[in-house]
Amino acid sequence: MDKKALITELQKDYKKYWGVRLFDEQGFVRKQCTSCRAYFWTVDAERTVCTEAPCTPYSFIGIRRKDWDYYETWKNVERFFVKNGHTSVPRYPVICRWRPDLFFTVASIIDFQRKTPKGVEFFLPQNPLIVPQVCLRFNDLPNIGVTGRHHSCFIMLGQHAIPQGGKGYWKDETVRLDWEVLTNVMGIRPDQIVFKEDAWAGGGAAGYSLEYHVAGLELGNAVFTEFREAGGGLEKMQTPVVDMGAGFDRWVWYLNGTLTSYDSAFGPVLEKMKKHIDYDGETFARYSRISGSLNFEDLLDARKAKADVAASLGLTADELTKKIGGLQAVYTIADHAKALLFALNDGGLPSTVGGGYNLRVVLRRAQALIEEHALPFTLTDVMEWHARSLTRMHPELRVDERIRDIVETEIRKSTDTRTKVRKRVDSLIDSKQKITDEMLVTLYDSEGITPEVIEDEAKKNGLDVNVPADFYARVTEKHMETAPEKKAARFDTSALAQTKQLCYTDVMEHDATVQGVSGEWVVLDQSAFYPEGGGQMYDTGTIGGVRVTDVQKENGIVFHKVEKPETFATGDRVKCRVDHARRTQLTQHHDATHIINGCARRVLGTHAWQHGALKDVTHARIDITHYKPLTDAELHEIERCANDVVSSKKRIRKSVHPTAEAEKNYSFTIYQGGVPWGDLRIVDIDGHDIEACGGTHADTTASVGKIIVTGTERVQDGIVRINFVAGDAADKYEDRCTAVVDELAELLKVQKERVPEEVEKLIVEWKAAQKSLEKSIEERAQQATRNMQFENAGGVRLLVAHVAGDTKQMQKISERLTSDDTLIFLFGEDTTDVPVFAAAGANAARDYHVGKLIKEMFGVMGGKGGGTPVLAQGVMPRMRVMEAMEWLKKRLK
Amino acid sequence: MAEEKAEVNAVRKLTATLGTNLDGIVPAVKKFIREKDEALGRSS
Ligand SMILES: [Zn+2]
Ligand SMILES: [Zn+2]
Repeated sequence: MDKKALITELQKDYKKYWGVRLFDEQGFVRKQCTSCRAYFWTVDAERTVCTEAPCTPYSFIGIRRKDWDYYETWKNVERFFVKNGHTSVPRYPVICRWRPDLFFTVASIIDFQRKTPKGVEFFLPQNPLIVPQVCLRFNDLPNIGVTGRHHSCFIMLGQHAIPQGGKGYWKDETVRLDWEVLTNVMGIRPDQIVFKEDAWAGGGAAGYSLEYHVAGLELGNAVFTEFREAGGGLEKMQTPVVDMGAGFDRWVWYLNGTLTSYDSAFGPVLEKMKKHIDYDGETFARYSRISGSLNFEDLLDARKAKADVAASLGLTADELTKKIGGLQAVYTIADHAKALLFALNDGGLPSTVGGGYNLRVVLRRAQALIEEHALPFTLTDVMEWHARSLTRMHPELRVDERIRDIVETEIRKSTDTRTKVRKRVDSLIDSKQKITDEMLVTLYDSEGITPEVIEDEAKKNGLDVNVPADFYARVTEKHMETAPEKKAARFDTSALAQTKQLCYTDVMEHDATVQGVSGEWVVLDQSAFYPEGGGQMYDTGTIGGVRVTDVQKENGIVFHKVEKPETFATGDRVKCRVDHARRTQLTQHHDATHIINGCARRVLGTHAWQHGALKDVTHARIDITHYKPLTDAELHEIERCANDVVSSKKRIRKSVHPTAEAEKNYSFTIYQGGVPWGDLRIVDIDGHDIEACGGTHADTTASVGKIIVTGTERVQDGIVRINFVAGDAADKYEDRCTAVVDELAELLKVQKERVPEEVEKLIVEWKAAQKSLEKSIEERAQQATRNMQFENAGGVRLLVAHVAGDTKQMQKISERLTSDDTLIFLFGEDTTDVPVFAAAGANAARDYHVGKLIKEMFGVMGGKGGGTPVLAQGVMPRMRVMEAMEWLKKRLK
Repeated sequence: MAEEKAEVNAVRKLTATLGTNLDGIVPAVKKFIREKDEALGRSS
């Protein structure tokens, strides 16, 4: 059900949904806005329009109501809610590790939502609670820095409650508390506050809401999520939830009355930046009063709106940009730097992977603005200023070496590609090709070039480019497409009971009863075979003496692929035997994967996050998020760390916890391997690495034996792979290394220790040999050409000659001799098949096609080959070369 | 921890130098030797 239809439906009985006790007690009246037609509640019986912009323009700017900064405002609000029975919960990370469908925490309620197979579930660690949740949103970029109120990084003050078991509350109490905060804590006059009727639907849930508007500004939205979608309609949820989210940065703005919310949110940072730009403060003051009506849905919109705003200030769009463009640039830079500060502190990375793409875009946008306005500070400077000014509110923020390196590496990457990109754009323009929407999307996507840049560049060259109005929406949509659903179940499991799994016990041999046979797959009542999962390969072994070649699990049922399925029948009692050596090896590799993961985070930083892993018998690997190739030193350090963990014989504890408890005890890093739901099996290597994992693990790291990091590869931008071996596979790997080094020592006739050095020397010698070959070919060509004579024939200068050397040599000779009117045929030397090479100059090629000519010759003389009008080659029998040369001369006369 | 075997370290250097994995090392070296000899033979 869409929002509009929902509102219409609920308004049939508006009092039931939007009516609250406060409205009765305070004598509120329900009105319809004469401007936007929305229904709202107010104590002001005379009011005819709502207080949302543009119905009511901004009327708070220039009035400082409280002498509170950002932090003090929060402390006063927090104190109020805590006094009224709320727990103040610390913010969750901005990188949303607990929701596989989201990259960033986009709202406070996200903290308390978990995806389950049945849909989204809510649970609150405390009830009721408030949280100053830092949120990241990148869908409004053209508005940021321009409208005065749009941010990519902001605090959503979340007030959440579930009315259940004598705890929490519902709408009466929610609105009463918010009314008190607004009137008593913030000191807003009651008649200034308007509650607008609204509704919300998404993610399978829906509710009605009251939006709080004051002086043109939306200060909050209390959503009462009470319904879930069911059978095309709505049904009541068992546990409704209060989702009041308030843009806290707007509260601070309202109290301070600054020209923009950027000034109140990042005041001290902006002071440092504004010194370096020229702008017209008077024009900006006039502009900021009407910027409240700006909200660009798309670029076309933005251009038109900018022109309208400029006109209403008596200026052209270009004049307005000149007067306030610099100011808008520093607002944008400050916003983007703050988003990056939080994202990088919480383990995010700019890349092309998932939300990393959004971080790349804001980083490049901010950097481009710094360069465009020739500002004498760096992006990391701005991040640092933010960290310092936010220190009371967010003492956890740092701009350390690692974060500097991430930002600087990313800037270098973008500079490196930019020259390349300019060339691409220029050549596109040069070629007079029509620049299609698709091209614009690709250029923005792969290189981060905005369509505005292309438009500008094209305009300079007298070309018109039409940027699609929904450009950014299109790109965002493209990037929000999630990975395709895993392939559908390959077995019909409806009639089968769940398999009792024994793979987490020490059992390797057991009896079982056959539950069913489906094709090559056998299902048992219980099984010790580990089914492939979490990157760990399946167990093998035997069932009833028949080899098991694959094991998979679907819907709780374990399927065993066997070599002779016809020998099984439902009801058979069978003896099962798991291949012990294979299982041990897979377990060693799985333990090693967790150990290396923990080491990677220690050596590289908390942005290193497991992206994927494979644990096979002969080798294993882990892919982690990292922003540049791993160095030898880093690999060595990871390897040393891993072997330290092995030799210190750490205990590996496996325990099962409900989701909430596991998150609380171990933090979100448990989701390195993905986000399962329900009771989580936690594998804890004595604090070194703690993950939710369904793999097989030993009881101590000592059983891994040893770990060898065998190498690294770049998987894609932002992801590196570490290849390694452990346990028995490590011993075997060492043996193979020894064999290879022995063989090379023999081959190169040197001592084993000198092999790497000798191979490097070999490569140097190989290069020198290639060079000297090149040189001698050149010299021979020079020599050969001295004695060669062209003859005039058929309007061209013809050369038919015999030369010493191979095709390469002939090519060199021909290169030296070719000019516009030449036709060259060269015959090389060989014992049986003689190479033939032919080339035509540009003019000669108009009359003759050397490819066709030598084909014709081969047709008469034997041999094979062909080519283009200008270049051809082939081979022919040595015995007939002289004859062929004569044939050619005759043919061309 | 146990000292890393010299051969393992040598192989790590070799894979980096040659841009190949363990299995590709010997064929790669043989190819370099062959091509070097060929080039020298043909340029003399
Ligand atoms: Zn209105
Ligand atoms: Zn695992």
